[in-house]
Amino acid sequence: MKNKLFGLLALLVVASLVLAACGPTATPSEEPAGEEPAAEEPPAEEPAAEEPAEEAAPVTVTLWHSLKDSETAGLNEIINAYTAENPNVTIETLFVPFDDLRNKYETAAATGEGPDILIGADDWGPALYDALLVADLSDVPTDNVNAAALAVGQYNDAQVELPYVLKGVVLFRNTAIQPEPAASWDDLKAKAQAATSGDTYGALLEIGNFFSFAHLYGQGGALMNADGTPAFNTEAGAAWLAMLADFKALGADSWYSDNDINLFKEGKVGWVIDGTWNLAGFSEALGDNLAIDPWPAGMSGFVQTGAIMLSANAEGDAALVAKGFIGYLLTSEAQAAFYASDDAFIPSNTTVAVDDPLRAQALAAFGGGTAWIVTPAMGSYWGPTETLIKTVIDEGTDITEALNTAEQAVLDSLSQ
Amino acid sequence: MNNPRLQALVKQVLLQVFLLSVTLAVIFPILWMVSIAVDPRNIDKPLELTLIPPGASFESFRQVLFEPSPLLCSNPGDVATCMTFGKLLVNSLYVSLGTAFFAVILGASAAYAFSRFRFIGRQAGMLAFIALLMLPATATVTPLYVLLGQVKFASEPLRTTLLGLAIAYTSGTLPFAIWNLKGYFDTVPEELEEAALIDGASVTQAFFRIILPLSLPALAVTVLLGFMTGWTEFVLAWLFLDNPARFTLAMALRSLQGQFTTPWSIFFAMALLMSIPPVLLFFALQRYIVSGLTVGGVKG
Repeated sequence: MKNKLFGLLALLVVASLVLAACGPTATPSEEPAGEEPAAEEPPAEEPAAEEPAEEAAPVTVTLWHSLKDSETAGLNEIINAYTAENPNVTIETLFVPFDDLRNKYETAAATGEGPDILIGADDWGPALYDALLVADLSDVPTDNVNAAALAVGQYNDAQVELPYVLKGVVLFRNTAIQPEPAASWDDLKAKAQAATSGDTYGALLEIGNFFSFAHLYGQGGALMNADGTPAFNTEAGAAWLAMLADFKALGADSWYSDNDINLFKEGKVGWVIDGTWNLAGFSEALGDNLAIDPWPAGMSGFVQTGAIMLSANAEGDAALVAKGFIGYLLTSEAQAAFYASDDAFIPSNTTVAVDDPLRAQALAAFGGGTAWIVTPAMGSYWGPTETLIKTVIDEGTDITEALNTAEQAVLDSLSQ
Repeated sequence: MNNPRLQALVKQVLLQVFLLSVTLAVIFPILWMVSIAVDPRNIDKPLELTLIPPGASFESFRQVLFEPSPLLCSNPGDVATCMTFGKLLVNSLYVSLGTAFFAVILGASAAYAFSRFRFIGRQAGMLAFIALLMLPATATVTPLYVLLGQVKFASEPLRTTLLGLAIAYTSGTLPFAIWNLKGYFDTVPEELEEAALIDGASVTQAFFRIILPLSLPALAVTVLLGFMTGWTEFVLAWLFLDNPARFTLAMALRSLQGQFTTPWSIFFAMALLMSIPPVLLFFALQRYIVSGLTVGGVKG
């Protein structure tokens, strides 16, 4: 009896696998079968042509994102408002963790699948456009959208992405330790040294390249030329590295460790460099003692955007509706909904009133910021510049020698 | 140090110190997880261990167990469609048990053939499995994505179903399962099967009634590894699945990791709760995971 049972079980497993494997043969044959009648039945199109476009055909648009809870609530509100105005439109959203989103999108889009709209990081657009996975959005209305933010998404004469939010690296200040902002880097350094005592630091400034590249621009230099070749091996580059060495001298080492963030939240640090995405957490921890300073002379931070992209696979009505919805996401109504839903949201639409003092300060600080570099060439810079900073700051390598080595490493990487 | 008792004592102390160090190294991360899970403060990146943090509570466990995830909803406007721990658990069990089932069924039958039958391509086949084992997981992602996307199951791509996910996981676990089981089957004396055949059993009967019962340790390991693969994997799952109603616990845990911030208390509470079923399975299988079941099966 047991033998029969085992045999039956094995048979069932094999049968289910065979049945599943038989599936694909049915799929291709179904699709042409579905297409053929449509091609053979022109009369079916005639009544549609005669009818006035009173009732638009139902259209479903899919959107993938990795927005956080509060932003997602705002997005849902925006979708509800949009679909109320456009009852024939359904917008289906899917949350995907940020670290998985790009891979999922690339894999799906490369096989002709995936969403119509992707909301992701601003440095994805150019690479995805090069891979023919996102489409040009030049014809989407962008009235009142921050011009600098729009420029981030312009690549190879196309608007490969549009900014729905502004964010970036800013200089946070605990006013209880540093009552006044610094006018310049030298001023900041002096004030930080004066305030450092015991377990209190006047400033803990992040050395990691993402947070510190922009200071190179603050020093009058640049990371790369327009063609992607290195531009950092200059006097400004040397001054930038000397500045980072001073960062370390001011206090505990801060290399993507978040030690600075935790201590800042505990009220033990005067200044930290961090992203506006931590605004809400800092505000909760420090209350009225939190301020965001304009960048002191000689320093700067990257200004980024959250990017909306249109899939290259979006076609027909779905593409049209997707573009319409993307345009709607940039309107003052939608931006105001995002602004209200999330404490750190800084609108890209310039007509939205930013009445929250901290976000207004962040917006003002972006004026002294540096546009985030989204070109794919950036991939050749991370490794060599990380080594550059580490060898100079931690190992005391001669700055000129280290700059030459890093420049060559970037050139080698670019040539590959 | 000529005193043998003193030597033994020193040896024992050193041994105990070593074992305590190993124990601490193993327990430390778990202690940290428990500590953070009961910590009500919103620490961005915990840098130090406070065993019982101020204001410690089980609030994060309550949230994980009873509150729906606002990000994992089939219809974001309807909280009833959001995934709860219970729904995620059911999906995870489905995928994990499915992976373990396929790995054992397919692995055991293939391994038996490789162990007992002599056929053309036998050695090449085993080497091919080794090659599959050596492949990085990412190498098989795109082929699996395309293949499982082509197959339709209940009018939708198999890729987007939990069955498809279990099949994808099985493709990764099968090579090891076959090697592991084949190695174990090789150690089971053929005389036992021959005796069964002489007594009138068929090859299939000998396989099910002699080989498999004697191979419970290897089967238990295969089940455990298959289950663990399905239980903990999230990269393929996030790549393949599009419907939140089919998401698993590992996917939900991953979704807690934000681009800039992570709710660590909830993250670790969920991680601890997630670890319970595999631990239970391990205890259930532990008695089988011993060697020497066949000792004494054959005289001489």
